[in-house]
Amino acid sequence: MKENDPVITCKGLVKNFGSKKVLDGLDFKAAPGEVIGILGRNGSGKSTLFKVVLDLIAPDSGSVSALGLTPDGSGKLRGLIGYVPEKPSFHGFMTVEEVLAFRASFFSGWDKAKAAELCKTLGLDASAKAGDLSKGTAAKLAWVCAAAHNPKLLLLDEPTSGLDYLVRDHILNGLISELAEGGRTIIISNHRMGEMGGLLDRVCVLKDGKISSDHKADFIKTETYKVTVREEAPLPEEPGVKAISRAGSVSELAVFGREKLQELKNSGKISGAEISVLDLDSAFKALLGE
Amino acid sequence: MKNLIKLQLKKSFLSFAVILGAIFASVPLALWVKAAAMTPREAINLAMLYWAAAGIPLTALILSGIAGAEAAREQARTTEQPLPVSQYGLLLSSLAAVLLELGVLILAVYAILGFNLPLETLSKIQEEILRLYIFSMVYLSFYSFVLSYAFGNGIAGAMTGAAAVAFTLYPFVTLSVFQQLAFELVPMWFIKPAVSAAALAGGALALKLLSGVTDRKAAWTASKLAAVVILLAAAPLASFSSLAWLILKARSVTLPVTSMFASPYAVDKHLYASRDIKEASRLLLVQRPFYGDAFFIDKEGNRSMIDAGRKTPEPGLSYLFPGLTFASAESVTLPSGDRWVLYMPQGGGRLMTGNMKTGFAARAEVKHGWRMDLLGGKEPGIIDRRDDGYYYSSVPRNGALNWKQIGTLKDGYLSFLGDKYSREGAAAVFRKDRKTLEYRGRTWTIPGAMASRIPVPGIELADGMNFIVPAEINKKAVTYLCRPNGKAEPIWPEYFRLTQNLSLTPDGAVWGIGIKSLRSYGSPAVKMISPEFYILTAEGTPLSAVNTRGIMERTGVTNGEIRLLKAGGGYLWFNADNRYLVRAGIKNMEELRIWRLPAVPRKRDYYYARVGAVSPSPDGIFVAATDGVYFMDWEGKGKKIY
Repeated sequence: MKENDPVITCKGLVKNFGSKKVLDGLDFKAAPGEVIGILGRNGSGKSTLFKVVLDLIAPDSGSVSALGLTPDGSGKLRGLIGYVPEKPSFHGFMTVEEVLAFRASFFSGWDKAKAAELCKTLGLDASAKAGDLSKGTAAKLAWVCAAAHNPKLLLLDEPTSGLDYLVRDHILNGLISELAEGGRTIIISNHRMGEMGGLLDRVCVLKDGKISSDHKADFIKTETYKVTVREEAPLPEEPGVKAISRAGSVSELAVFGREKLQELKNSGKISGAEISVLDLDSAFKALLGE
Repeated sequence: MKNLIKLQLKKSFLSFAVILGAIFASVPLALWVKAAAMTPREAINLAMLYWAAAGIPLTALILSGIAGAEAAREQARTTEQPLPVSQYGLLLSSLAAVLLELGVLILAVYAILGFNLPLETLSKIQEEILRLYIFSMVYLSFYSFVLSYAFGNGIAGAMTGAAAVAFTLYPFVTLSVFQQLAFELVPMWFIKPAVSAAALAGGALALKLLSGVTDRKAAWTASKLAAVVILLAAAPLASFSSLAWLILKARSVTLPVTSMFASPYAVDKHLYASRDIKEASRLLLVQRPFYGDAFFIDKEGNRSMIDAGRKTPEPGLSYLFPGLTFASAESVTLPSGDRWVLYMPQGGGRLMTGNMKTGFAARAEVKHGWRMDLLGGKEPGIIDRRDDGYYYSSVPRNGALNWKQIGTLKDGYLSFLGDKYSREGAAAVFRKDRKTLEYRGRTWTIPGAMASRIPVPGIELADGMNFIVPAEINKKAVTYLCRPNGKAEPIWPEYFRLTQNLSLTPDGAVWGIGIKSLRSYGSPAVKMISPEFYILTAEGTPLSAVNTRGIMERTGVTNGEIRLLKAGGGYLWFNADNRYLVRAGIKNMEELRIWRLPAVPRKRDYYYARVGAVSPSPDGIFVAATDGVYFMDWEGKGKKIY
């Protein structure tokens, strides 16, 4: 794999579960060092996409390559990727220490010192039985397992799910930032994408089995506007314009991009409207409906 | 992989430890509850027999069922599959752990048995039983695991797995037993590894396909489903196909009908044979054990049925185990060409007469044919060896058998035979001086003759009736030939007597195998037994110590039988182990012509395979082969006649 080659390339990925089409010709690329948020509703195929890249699930058609390897069922790819699953699970009869020792035997780049340091940072008790761990503590252990072998690519499937505020903050502002600064490629799916806002380089929306929109994070942060208008008849939605709410004759719209906003202004459709930059959470919410 | 197996062992350690503990605990328990008449060793053996027959197979089903079902669960998928090993590898590690545990349990039982199966009566096949048992357990675990994984349910998987194994082993065991007890018709050397490979490879490949669908969420397609079913059914199908093959082959097996109950004094056939054998050998009495029918056949393939066989030729059970019936028979041929046949199928017998043109008809039913012998000569008859003495009846041309006692158990019936054959001019007798042999006024004096009460049967050679008499001179055995010209000449420097160790060929030659050449039989120093033949040709020429080493080397027959079929015209014809017809020059035994014979039903040391499968006649040989009857002339030109 060359230095600037994409870390992940998916072309025309299709995956059906019975009659349900989960991925429908999905194309996706991730460049080295990018931190990408994958936004999508429940069941939109985020976890499926991750599992295809991890070589856990075989696509029905299309191609995938990650870190220069093509998934072949051997599991080699998983040795190079750090993965935090949505619902981490460990053998209940093992202690945290045994889990880490067991995992270490499968990953050539496992760094024991780093694992120990992460445990300390996250407040993990090495002697605790994995079967007794709370959801949040299990998530912490999953984080240690994902990061301890220094992977170049991290796939984080709802990484803060179940974590309390302090830990979440520590992970978001500490771990992910640190990992991202280390030049790693990180793909994150998270329901609360707003809390990730500062970390992301790009946001992709997964809808109907495809990437329906793909925006730079700065664009979302700075060029997504809330437009509040008073009209008897609501303004029709169009590309780049999404209704947020309507109460009586007052409508709130999300407008994506400075050019689109200008176009609306010029058309007179939003004359007299209040315009402000949309907060991140609302912007992501609007994106989902875009 | 090692770490994965360790993990799987750790997961199932508790259930494994409980079962292992139960095995060890059953030893003191067996000693505690044993019957008084039982020795401690017998009690322990009985307990271990339970474990081998029921406990371990059940354990195999439980362990593999649990492991297979667990491998299909979401828990295993989320816990173990993110590891950088193939999902199929994970399944194999789980299976390997089950097999390891099972191996330890089997080893524990075997160790308690003292590494020796308590099956004394099956001592010769103990290793085979052990191998089959281990294979069965591996197979049972494998399929139970695969099917439990496929169904995601340990009970359903274990039950289906057990059924698959039963369906595979049933034909497999049938094949082995049939071939052990009857004939080697199909190549077990090929079938055993083929079925084993089908079982293991089929299971492994099916597991791979199932892993693709269950773990990797690949879509089920009709072809994939068909492939899984075919792969899992491969071993039972291979096993049943082999059984079908065996049944198919068993149907066409032919055997000569010979006497299974030869009297220890079976002198009659020798007394009479020299005159009868030429005509008698023109026909072969053949049976088909699968159908139970029997018929005479000549070299052109003309047949005359003497037994139509089973009313239902193919009962349903014959598809599961090819049942065979064997008949025994003796026959004599009259100068008219008519034959008398004492025919004894299983469960009864009958005395029949007839010929190829008119067919054969029963003249009398006989209940205990196995204790009777047909007597030939001018007055054909039948001897019955009963518990209260010996009885005789002439054959019933018209009417029933008319029995009369001819001797008590103490006296025997040899004097009756002597009288009969002397009267008919078929045998000579010794005078009281035990040196002088007398036949129709002619006498021969043989110093050191080993005279017996048994009349000396005559043999018809080109110059008339001759007699062979063994003698002992200076403590060395020698065999004399008493020729019609009144001379008695030593012909062989070994002991031979027509009623004991000499045989006759249809062309009138007499032959035996030198005892000296057979003494080394069984000696570990001797790799190849090379029998030396002593032959008296129909022309009256004696041959001594004819060495057959060249035949054995050229044909590779090292542990079978070599029999003389014909001697005359400067050549000897041999049957080498029912595999080759060999012609050798009398003057130069290295001058050989060898013809391969059709395959005959073969089972080492089994009576049917050794006697009569190749039967000489004046014009060639009959071969009762595995696929029919052949006739081959003395130049090796053969044809299938049935």
